[in-house]
Amino acid sequence: MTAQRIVSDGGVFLEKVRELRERDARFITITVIDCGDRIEAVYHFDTGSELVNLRLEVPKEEGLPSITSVYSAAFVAENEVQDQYKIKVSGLSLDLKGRMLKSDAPVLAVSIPSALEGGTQPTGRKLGRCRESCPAMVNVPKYVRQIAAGDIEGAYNTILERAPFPAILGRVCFAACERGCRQYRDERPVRCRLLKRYAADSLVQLKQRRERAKPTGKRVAVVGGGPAGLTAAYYLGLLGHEVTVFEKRGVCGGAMLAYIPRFRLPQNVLDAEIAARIEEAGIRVEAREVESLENLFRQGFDAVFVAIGAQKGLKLMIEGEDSPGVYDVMEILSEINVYGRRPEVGKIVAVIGGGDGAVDAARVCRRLGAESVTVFYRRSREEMPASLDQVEAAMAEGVDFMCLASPVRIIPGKPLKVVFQKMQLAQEKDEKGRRKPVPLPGSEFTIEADTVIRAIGQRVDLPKGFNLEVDERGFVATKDKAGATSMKGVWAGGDAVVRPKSVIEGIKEGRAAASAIDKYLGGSGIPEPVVDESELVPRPHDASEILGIEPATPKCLEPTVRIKGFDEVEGGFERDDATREASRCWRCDWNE
Amino acid sequence: MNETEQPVEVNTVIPFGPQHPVLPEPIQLRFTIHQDKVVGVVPNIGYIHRGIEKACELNDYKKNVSLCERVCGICNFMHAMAYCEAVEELTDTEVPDRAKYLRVVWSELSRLQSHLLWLGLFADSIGFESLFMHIWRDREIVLSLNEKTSGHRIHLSTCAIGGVNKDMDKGLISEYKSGMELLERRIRELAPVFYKDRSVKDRTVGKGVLPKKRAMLLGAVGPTARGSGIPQDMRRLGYEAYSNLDFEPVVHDEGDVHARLLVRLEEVFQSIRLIKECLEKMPEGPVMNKNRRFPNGATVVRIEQPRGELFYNVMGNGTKRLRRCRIRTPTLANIPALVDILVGYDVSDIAPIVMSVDPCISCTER
Repeated sequence: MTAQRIVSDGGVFLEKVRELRERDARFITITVIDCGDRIEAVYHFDTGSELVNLRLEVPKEEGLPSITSVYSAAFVAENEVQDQYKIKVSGLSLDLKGRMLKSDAPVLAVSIPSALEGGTQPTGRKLGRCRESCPAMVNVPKYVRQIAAGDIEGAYNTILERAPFPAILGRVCFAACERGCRQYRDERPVRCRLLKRYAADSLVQLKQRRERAKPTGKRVAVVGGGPAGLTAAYYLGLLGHEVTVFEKRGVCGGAMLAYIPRFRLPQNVLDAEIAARIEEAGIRVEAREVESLENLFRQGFDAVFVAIGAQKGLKLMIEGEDSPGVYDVMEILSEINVYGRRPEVGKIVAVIGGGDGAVDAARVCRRLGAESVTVFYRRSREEMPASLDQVEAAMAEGVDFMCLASPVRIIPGKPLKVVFQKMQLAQEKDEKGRRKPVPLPGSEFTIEADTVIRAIGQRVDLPKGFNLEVDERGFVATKDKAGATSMKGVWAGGDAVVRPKSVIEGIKEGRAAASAIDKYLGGSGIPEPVVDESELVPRPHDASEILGIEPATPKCLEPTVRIKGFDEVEGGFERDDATREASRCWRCDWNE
Repeated sequence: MNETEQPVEVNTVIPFGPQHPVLPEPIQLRFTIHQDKVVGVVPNIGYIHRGIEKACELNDYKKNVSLCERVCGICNFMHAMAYCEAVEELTDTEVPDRAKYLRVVWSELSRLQSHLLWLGLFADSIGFESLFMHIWRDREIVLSLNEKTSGHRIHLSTCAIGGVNKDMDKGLISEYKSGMELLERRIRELAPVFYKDRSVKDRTVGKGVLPKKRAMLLGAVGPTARGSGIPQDMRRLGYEAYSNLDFEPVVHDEGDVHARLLVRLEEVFQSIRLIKECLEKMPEGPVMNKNRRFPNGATVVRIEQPRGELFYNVMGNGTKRLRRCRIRTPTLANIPALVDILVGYDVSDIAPIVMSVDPCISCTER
């Protein structure tokens, strides 16, 4: 193929093209070759009798001159060249501006609207994905922005509007907000949970100045001082009611106190935050066990919230279960947490179950000196209800996991012998959509263990005098989302209803019940979250700026150090880290 | 016009496509309409750009044959043939005579089925459903002949570097001959409809006129150019066995939709005649020569596709990967002409005018 060669002279080149047009040549197309810093473009023309090629070499940044002034039909080829080689063709008669090949359309540039420095009135506000995925609907985008702007106290109060325990949640929450984050699929969600913890930890004083509403003269009894009970008490107290919490232990905290190990939630954090809330809302705590709800009404209470939790551990229903050395997970954990004892568990521990309780018990046993701790679960890893973070932390601490194994019987002795059976997952699914485990015939095996801990679930231990309707599994039956029970003026929530849950779900139910109780007592309830149109966005950025920020990771204790004691494992953010992390928010609540 | 009837000065913008019943292919034409007349058109393509040119640089040059074949569904054989011709030239591979004739037979069969497809679709676009059905019934003859040689109705995959990879025996050749005769008889019956029928002529005569001078300047190719009186036909370059065959390009001078329609109709008969001539003249012998070199240098191949001139510019560098493989398909060349001929006609004429250049977006989005 021969071609007339012209190097980087648009004027001479266009002259040649014009000559060809005089000769009635037909423009065919352009072939462009990328030669690094310069490009070579061959223009093909057909004069009817022969093929004429013009070769033009130009530096890349200079771009090509357009020949559309001579051959208007060249706009197709020139737009294509512009898109394929990312070079400029100057003087195009119909410039499609890099949008001819739509596969090359920029993706990120449209994701975040750019705005002027100093903030503009947002348009098209939403609640935000993080907020919608949170059970308690905490205003996540707002507190993240407040932390980015350095307003720690504002952030803490934003959380308090929907959930009363930021410091506790910042440590133990399963962080649905992070899974709702837009950046979760890139495996770099904004760490909302740790930001919450940072806001709480960097306050000098947890007690906030809250305006309590005018006293209404109504009295509300809350049975049980766990997350759900305290939440209901807190919001009812703020609404002006006189609230009394009946807690048989005398110390509030419920499951947070008894069943969450201290290396996840230190005692002082728990105590300080609960004390602050009790003081703010003027809650009275009585260390007394309630035997009958009628008695409470007789004592002058107008409404009752039952949040007694689920303390009765489920039994395995196998032979030899009552042998010495077999414990319930609740027993072991509350032994340590509430009574400060250090029970003897021996060298080899077998934990049966797959929930957070089982994993916590296993981690506790490592700290109590057990050398080999194995968690046995009858389904596979995918079905395990324990959160992945906890499982990973446990594995780092040397806890073994054995899935698809179910105990058949326990032979008493020292050490205990536990006979397991291997399981396989059947195709049919149970009511929760999990595949059912079925025994694999002839696959029994025996292990030895000094201690066996069962952690397969809890049920409610409802006092006889409550006279509440229960469902088939023994949980308190409720009639609506707020938790109204079969008895007038009585609401229920938390672990005592439906199933044991997480702290944030307990908070959600406590709050819903508080709102319903307030309405029952003549108030207007707690308003549902709405999009706050008045909030200004402090400093909007564009996408590239946000993507450039590195996610912050908190410091954790080394596994070898961790198992020596009950010190808190996970560290919090430092000031710089927290500000940086908070400024990674894409603000999809602003305009997605 | 009295004083109360002021001309409406407002223009309307109507998007045609990327999904439209007339043309189920992703091209968008944005029409600016003034009082039911088209006053401006902006073409918008690139919805399904596949990057085949780039892929050709990354593949082994032998595998590119099947890649190029997939540029277009209808004229797949011609894409493979153009690419093979280019590589054969760059590797000095001689193609056996019998293979040259077979290539012509298959390209003309491709042209036949493409033109018949288009004649049917065009009848559909002007609302002539029964004609559409008749034409497509006859197209089945070509498709079943394709199936008998290659095993596929559309994608032949018979072209290879150095020749063709399938041969025809005597029985098949006589089947082809009788098939061509049957097809010719059938189309002869239908042809008067296209020439004389009022419902066809009303929609086509005088619509979308492209004068000869304008067609040359806009670089129109294929039936679009020949319908405007330009005797441009790449087969006259004499590639493959065309130099031994006797034919003249079909040319009509009117430059309107009807002229383009007649060019295609007459090319159907021309193709049938060429196939029959080839089958008569085809010499005995091998159909494939081995090629043992890597392509080096640069070459341009131009062949005549059903829609016009197909342009391949292949550059090799002596390795098994190509330096560049530039493909310019005929539809890409006809887009400027398409934009030009639409201006000044009614909205109701848009469909037949767009169809008259036979846009193939699969080709366009290489």
